Amino acid sequence: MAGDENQLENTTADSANSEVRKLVEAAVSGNVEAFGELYRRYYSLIYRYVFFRLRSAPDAEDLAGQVFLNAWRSIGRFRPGQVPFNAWLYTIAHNLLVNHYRNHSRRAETSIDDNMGEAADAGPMVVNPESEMEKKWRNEALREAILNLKEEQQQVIYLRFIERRDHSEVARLLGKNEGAIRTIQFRALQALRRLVDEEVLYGEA
Amino acid sequence: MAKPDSELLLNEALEKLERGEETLESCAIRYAQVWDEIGPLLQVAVGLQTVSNEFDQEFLAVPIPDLEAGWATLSAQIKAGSSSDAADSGTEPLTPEKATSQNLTDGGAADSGTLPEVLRFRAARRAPRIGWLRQPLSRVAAVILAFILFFGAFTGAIYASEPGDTLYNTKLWLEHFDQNLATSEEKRVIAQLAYAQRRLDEIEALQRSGKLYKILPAIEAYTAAIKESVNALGKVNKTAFATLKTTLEQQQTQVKSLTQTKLPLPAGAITKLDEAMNKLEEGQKQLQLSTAPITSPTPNATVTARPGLIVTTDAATSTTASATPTPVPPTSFGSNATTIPNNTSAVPGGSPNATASAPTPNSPPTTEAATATVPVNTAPSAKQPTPDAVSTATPAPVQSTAPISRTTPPVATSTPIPTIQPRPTFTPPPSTQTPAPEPTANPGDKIGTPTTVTPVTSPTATITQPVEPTMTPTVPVNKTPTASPTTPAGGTEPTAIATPAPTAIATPAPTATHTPAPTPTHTPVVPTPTPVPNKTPTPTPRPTNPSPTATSPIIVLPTLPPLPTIAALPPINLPPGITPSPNSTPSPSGNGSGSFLTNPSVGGGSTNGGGTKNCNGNGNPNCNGGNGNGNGNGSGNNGNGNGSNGNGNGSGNNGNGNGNGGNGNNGNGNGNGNGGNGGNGNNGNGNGNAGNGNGNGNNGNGGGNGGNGNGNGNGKGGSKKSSI
Repeated sequence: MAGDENQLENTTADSANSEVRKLVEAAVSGNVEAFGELYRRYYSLIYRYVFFRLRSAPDAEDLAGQVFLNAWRSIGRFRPGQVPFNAWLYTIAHNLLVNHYRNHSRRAETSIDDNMGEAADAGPMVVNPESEMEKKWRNEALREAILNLKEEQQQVIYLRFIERRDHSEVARLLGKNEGAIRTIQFRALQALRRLVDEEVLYGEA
Repeated sequence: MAKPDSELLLNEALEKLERGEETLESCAIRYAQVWDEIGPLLQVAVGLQTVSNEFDQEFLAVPIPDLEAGWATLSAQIKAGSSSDAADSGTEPLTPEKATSQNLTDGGAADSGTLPEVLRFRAARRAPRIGWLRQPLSRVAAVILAFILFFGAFTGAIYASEPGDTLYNTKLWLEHFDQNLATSEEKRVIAQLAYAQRRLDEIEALQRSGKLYKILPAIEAYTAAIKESVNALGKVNKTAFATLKTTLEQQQTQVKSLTQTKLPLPAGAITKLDEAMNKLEEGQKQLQLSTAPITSPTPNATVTARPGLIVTTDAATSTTASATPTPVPPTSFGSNATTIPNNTSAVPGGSPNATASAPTPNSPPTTEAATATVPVNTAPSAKQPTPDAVSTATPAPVQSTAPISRTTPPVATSTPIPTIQPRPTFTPPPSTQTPAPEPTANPGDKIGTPTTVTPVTSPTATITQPVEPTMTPTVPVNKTPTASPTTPAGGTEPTAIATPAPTAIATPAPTATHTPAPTPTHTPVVPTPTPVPNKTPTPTPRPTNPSPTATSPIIVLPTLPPLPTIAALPPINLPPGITPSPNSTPSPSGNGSGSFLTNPSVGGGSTNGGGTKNCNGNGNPNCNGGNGNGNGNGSGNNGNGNGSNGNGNGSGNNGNGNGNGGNGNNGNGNGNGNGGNGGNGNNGNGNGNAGNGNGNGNNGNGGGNGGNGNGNGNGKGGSKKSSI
C-alpha cells in the first residue's frame, strides 16, 4: 500500500512537473496567461515564505507580487530543465528579502533588540521548556538566526522544518538529490547551533 | 569519518523524531555515543519544529491575499510594460526575451520595493524616445535651433528696448549701423531721417504711455539724429528733395506737437526739442534755397583772385572762366542769421600772392573761413558781390559741386564756404594776374548763406587753372623709414653698408709691397748657391762687425771676398714638430728663397740670419752683411710669411742684432714664412735694397706661434758697392 501511494505520488508529481514545465515553456515564449497560471500555482508558496521572514502581511503581499513581476521580467533567462520553477521563485524571493533587510537593517536590528529586551525583562532565563516566554524568545531567536544562513541552507531549513517537507520533496523542489539535501540540512543545523549559542539561546544546554 | 556518521545518525534520529518514534530523551540514550555531537543539533531541529508550529498558527491568522486580484494587478503591470514597449518598438507586446534584453536582473538583486520598480522599468523603456538627440546631425541641428532662438530672442529684446533701458544703446547702435549700408548719399540721408523718425516715434510712444521719465534720452537721441540728417542734406541730389522735405515737414509737425504738450516733460526736454525744431527749419530752408532758380551771371563779371580766394567750379569748366558775381540776397536762419559783405567782389590790386586754387579732393570744407575766403558758393544761384571785378589771376577752375548749403556760424561775418588753402607752389603769372582786392566784410552787411557762384565761361577770362600742386614740402619717399636724410630716395642702403669698400678691410697690399719671387719653384740642389745656409757659418772669414757703440761716421768695411761657392746647402735642423716646406730650400740662383714653415704652433727663436753681403742702401761699400742672427722670437702667427719680410737682415753694425726680420723691404728673397716679427734687431740697418736674400724661413720661438721666418739677406753687395 505504501509503495502504491509513493508510486501514485510520484506519478502525480511527474504529471504536475510536466504540466509546470509546459506552463513555464509557454511563459518563456511570452504567454502571459501561462505565467498567470504559474502565478496562481506558486503564489501561496512564495507568500508564506516571504511572510515567514517579514511577518507582515502587506509587506509580504507586495514582496510576493514583486517576486512574480521580476520572474516575468527575467523569465527569458530561465532554463526549465536545470532548476525547478519554484526553486527559481525561492531564489528571487530570497534576493528580494536580502535587499529588503538591507534597506531596513536598522529597523530589523531594532526589532531584534526589542525582542531581546523583552526577553531580558522577563527575568533571568530559566531553563524551562514549558515557559511560554522562553519559548517565544527561543522561537524569535531561531527565526532571526535562519536569516543569517546561506541561501540554500535557509531554503532547506524552511522547507524541511517550517514547511515539513521530506527530503525527497525538498530535493525535488530545489532540484537537488536527497543526499545533498541531507548534507545541507546537517550543516544548516550546525550553523544554527552556533548562531543560537551566540545568542545564548541555549545557555543551559 | 565521524562527521558522516554523525550526519547519518542525525538524520536517522530526526526522522524518528518526526515520526514520533523517539523523543529527545530516548535519542540521548540511543545515540549516547554521538550525543554530544548530534544532541544540540537535534535540539535545534526540535526548536525549529516549535517555530514551525508557531508559524502555522500565526499564518493561519493572516488573511490570504486574493490570487485573482493579485494577478490582475500583476498582469496590468505586465501589460503596461508591454504597451510601453510596443509603443516604443512598434511591435508586439513585451516578450520575456525583450524583457531580458533590457538588462534587468532576475530576483531583483539590484531591485527593491514594489511600485517604484515598475516605474523605473517603464522609464527605462521610454529613454530611447529621445535617442534621436544622440545623432550628431540632430545635435548640430539642435544647437543651431537653440542659437537661432536665443539670437532671435536677444535681438527682439534689443529692438524692444526703450530709452533708458540697458539695451537701448545697443538698439541705437544697430539702427545707426544700418545707415552705413546705404549705397548712396541720398539713401544714407533718407536712412538718417528714418532713424530720426523712429526716435520721434519713440518719444510719442513714451508720451502716450506716460513714461516721461524715459523721454529725455529719446529726445536727445532724436536731436542728435536730426542734426546729423540736416547736416547731410547738402550731399543729396535734388531728386530726393521732395521726399526729404515731406519728411522734415512731418517731423516738424510732430516736434511742434510735442513742444506744445501740457505733460510735464523733464528738464531739458523742451530745450532739446527747440534745438531739433530749429534744425528742422534749417533743413527746410536749405532745401528751399537749393531748389531756388538760378540767376544768370553778368557776362562782364570776373572773379578776382586774392589770397584765400575760394572758387569752386565744375570740373568740366574751362581753365578760363569769367564769373559774374551777383549780390546775394541776405538770408538768415532763425537766430543764427548772419550778414554777408556786400563788397566781397574781387578787386584789382589785391595781394600779389593771391591764388585761386581748385579744391582738391582732400580739401575739407570749412565753415569758419571768415576772412580769407570769398563768399562764393557753387549753387546755381550766382551771388557775386561785385559785377565789375575783373580777375586776371589764374584761379583754379571753379568747380561746381552739388548745391551745398552751409550753415553760418553764429559769429561769422563772411560766408562760410569751403575753404581751400592756397597751393604753396602755385604762382600765377605776373603778366596775367590782377590781384584781387581784399574782400571787406562789413559787419552790417548781410551774408547770404549760402552764396553761390555760377561759373560762366568768358573769352576774356584769364583765370588759369594752376597746375596740380607739386606738394613742395615733399619728403623723399624712403622705403626704409630709418634711413638717414642723406639716404637717397628709393631706400637704397648706404654703400658703406651695402657694399663694403675694399679699402675698409685691412688687407695686405698685395700689389704694392709684395712681389712674388720670379722663381717660385726652388730646386733643392743648385750648383752655385749664393745664399748662406742658416745655422751654418759661412766658410769665408768675415771682418768683425763694428760695435754697435761705434761712433765713427764712416765705417770702412773691408772688401769682402767673393762668396764661396757652396755646393749645397746643409740641411736645416728644424725643431721637432716643424715640417719644412718643400720649397724651403734656398734658391741656387741667389734669389732669396725662404723657407716656409708651416707649423705655426712651434715657436721659439732660432739663430737665423746668416745673412751675408747685405748691402745697405747707404752707399756703404762695405756693405757687409752682418750675420744678422736675427733671433726671430717673434711669433709668426700664420706661418705664411713672405719673402718680403724675411730678408735683408743682419746688415748694420752689429751682426748680432736681432734682425728685424721684417724689414727686408726689397729683398727678393722668397722667404716664406713669417719673418715679420723676428725680433728686435739693434741697429740692424742693413737693409739691402737690392739684396737678393735667400730667405730661409725659420720658425721663431715665439709664444707658441711658430713660423717666423728670418730671412737671411744674401745680398749681392758687390753690385751695390760698385755702384758707389
